[in-house]
Amino acid sequence: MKINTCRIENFTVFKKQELEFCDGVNIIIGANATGKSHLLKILYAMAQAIPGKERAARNDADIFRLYGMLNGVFKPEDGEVNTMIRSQDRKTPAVFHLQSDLGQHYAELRRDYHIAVGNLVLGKTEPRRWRPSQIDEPPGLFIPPNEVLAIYPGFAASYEKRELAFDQTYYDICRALSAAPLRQNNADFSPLTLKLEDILSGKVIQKGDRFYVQNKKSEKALEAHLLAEGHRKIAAVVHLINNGSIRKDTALFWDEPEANLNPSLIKHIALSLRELAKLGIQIFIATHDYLLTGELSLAAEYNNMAPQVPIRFFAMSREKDGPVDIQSGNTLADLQDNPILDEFAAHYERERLLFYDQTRTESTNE
Amino acid sequence: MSKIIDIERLRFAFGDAWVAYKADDERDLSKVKQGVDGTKDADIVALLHGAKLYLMEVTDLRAARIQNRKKLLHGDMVREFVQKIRDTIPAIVGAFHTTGHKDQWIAFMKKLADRSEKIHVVLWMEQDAPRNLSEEKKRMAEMKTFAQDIKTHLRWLTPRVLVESLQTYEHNLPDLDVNNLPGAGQLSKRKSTA
Repeated sequence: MKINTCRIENFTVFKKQELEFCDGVNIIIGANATGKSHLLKILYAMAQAIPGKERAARNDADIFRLYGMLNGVFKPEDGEVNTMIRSQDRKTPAVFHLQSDLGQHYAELRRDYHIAVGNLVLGKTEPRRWRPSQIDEPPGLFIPPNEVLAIYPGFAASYEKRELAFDQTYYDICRALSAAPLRQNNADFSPLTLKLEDILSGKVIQKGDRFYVQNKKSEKALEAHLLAEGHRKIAAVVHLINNGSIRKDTALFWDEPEANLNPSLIKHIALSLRELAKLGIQIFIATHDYLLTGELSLAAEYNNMAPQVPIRFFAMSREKDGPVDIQSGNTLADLQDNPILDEFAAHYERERLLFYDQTRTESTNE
Repeated sequence: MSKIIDIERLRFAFGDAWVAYKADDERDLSKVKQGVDGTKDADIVALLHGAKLYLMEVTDLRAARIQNRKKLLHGDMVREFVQKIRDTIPAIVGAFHTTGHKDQWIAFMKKLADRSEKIHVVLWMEQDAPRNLSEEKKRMAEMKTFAQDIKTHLRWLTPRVLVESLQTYEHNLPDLDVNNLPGAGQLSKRKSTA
């Protein structure tokens, strides 16, 4: 699917926000607690919950899937996502509106557990009546900040028994990882997976519920949990491509791709994101990384940097406890608020002041 | 009484706290260049309060901006700057060893040889005024990267490194005024705006 626009009202940090996304790589930046991950999770929940073309008929299961998805991805402490509605007013709903190539999708959620989808008001949801969604061909895939290959063995079963405190994005990606590689790899993706395998110096293989990277020369297989954490993240992406979880028309949501990655790998991640977009995958990332945003901005600025794909930046900012404000632009330079750049500039300002302060101190002591 | 040194389109006015020399004007310093082709040195060598050694280089990117911008991005500018700082060290040593008036250079030599002293390396880099706040911040981030790169290349000297410009300099160094030469770059001076 391709998400064109979304409108979120009255939910967590969002008072009323309308966003227009590009078909390629959408990059969300902002300081902590500005709602970057919330935005990714709302988009993901809606993408997963809406009926696809093949499931046009709406039924209770479709409706409650959205409620379940929101509960699952946010996992609020008291167990009910209704408490995350911004307004205290019981009647003012949180509104989620998504315009995608599959159509328009609209949902309301109220503090008194009423939920409505489209023009259909469905009455009260039953608190705690939800289970992790199980969709055969989910339109979206969420990669959480922490890598999952090391925790994968037995994770899904434990999650289903509600033994784990992880949010549903971890469960969903473990389910996606559980699929075996396709018998025939999609040739369009081969150049990308080969590049990623070069970084890993091996092929990603799955034996039972464990993952390994098999060295291309020695053929020795190294268990996933013995790999560097950054490499585990890359190995997971390779397997998700190989098993078709990441395929043309997937909406890919990746929260902090840079987490645990050595800076030398960031340019490869930036290139991989653009190559995935070229292959028809719409990408949403939330990031704090100067290098990653810089690389993607360069690709937007220089049309001799292949592959060329649409790129759009979103900067989220908010006053303490206030609603979020979101600016967008096609390059980093288009953004008035860029907390990553601000901090780099402030860091150098601190260095300058230290240089001069030391000079003054030493001059006084002479 | 201040000493005026003009480099490219900048005017440095060193007050009494400084002993400062424009390297190109000092025959003692230029001897090292006679030995090896391509040897260059920093624009200014200076002592603050007779105690702190400063090596300063001026790069004015306001002329030939695109060409200089390429040099900046490709790392050539860091390399050039580092080479100049490197070559200034033997230039000072050579001046001390061969000059008829050693007293002029002995304080500089002592600072070079004192392990407890930091050598201050300053690159004045003038660019066109940033077009907006975002570009200004991006430039600050660039300067940070640039300073870090210089430090890495000069780690054998363990200097304190500063990349400075008229945009941000507010007479922070004692007794040193820096301004555009008359007619040069008045439009480039722009203070930060919120």
